[in-house]
Amino acid sequence: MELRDHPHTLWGLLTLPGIGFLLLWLVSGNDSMGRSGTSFLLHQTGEMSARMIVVAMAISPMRHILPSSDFWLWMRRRRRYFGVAAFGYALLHTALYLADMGSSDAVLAEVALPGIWTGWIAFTLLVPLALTSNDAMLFRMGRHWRRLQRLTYPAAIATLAHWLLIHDGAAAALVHFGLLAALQVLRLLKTQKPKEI
Amino acid sequence: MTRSMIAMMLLSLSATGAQATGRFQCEATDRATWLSETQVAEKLTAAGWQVSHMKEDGGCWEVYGTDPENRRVEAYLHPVSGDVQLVSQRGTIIFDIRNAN
Repeated sequence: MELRDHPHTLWGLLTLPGIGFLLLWLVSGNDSMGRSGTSFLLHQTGEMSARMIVVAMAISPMRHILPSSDFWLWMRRRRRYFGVAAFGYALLHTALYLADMGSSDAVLAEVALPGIWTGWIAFTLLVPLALTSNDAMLFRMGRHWRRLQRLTYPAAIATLAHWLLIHDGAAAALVHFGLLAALQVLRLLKTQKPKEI
Repeated sequence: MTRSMIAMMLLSLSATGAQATGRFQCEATDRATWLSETQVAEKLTAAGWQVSHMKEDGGCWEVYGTDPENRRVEAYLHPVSGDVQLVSQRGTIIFDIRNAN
């Protein structure tokens, strides 16, 4: 119980796959095997980042759906961990991409492709969210903090667009974000109910 | 409600298992007549491509690599002739044999 509630336990759990990805990146190197290794890692880090966004954004709707759940209250108190993890995996994803492309010319040559610029927008939107996800910024920004954190919604939409455009087959993207969309709809229905009575 | 949603998610997951991605479908061919991975890679390399890796998809060879213009692409090749059928760069189709003729 104490272990579960220690903040470092959750940090460790959320970081663990990232350590695995980093090690894989190191061992796969730059040979011809390295390229297929990189494309595997690009896929995994991107999906992990999207998954963290979905988890972070599912917490609030779940609190409305199951108001007396201790688990979702616990999750609510640690929501920023998932947001920062989403940024961490997006950062690793972007670093892998840049290393794979090898030059700024190559990166710029494909920046206008829809599958690419949606990714850059998603990543850019996550930067201010991650930079302000610490206690000091939360305290200093006051009510502006909540407004800034609403950037999560366009970031999630850009992430979904990036995933749909760049990946063959929409199934995995739609499973992740379809579930989140369903939760958001349920929350809206739930929060609007009292007005009808 | 939550339970039916989880059931829906599992259903959609199982329905989308090992399936062709549907980006391109090559004509039906006898697997025994297919070019080997090495032959495909040699043919493309000779034409100025860099081949990273490949897999079967939709009855084609789906090759990941770099085209002669140095673009990171995914190409669908006819498994017997080795002719390029479709090329997509980061999800944007830049060559489609059905529109090329």
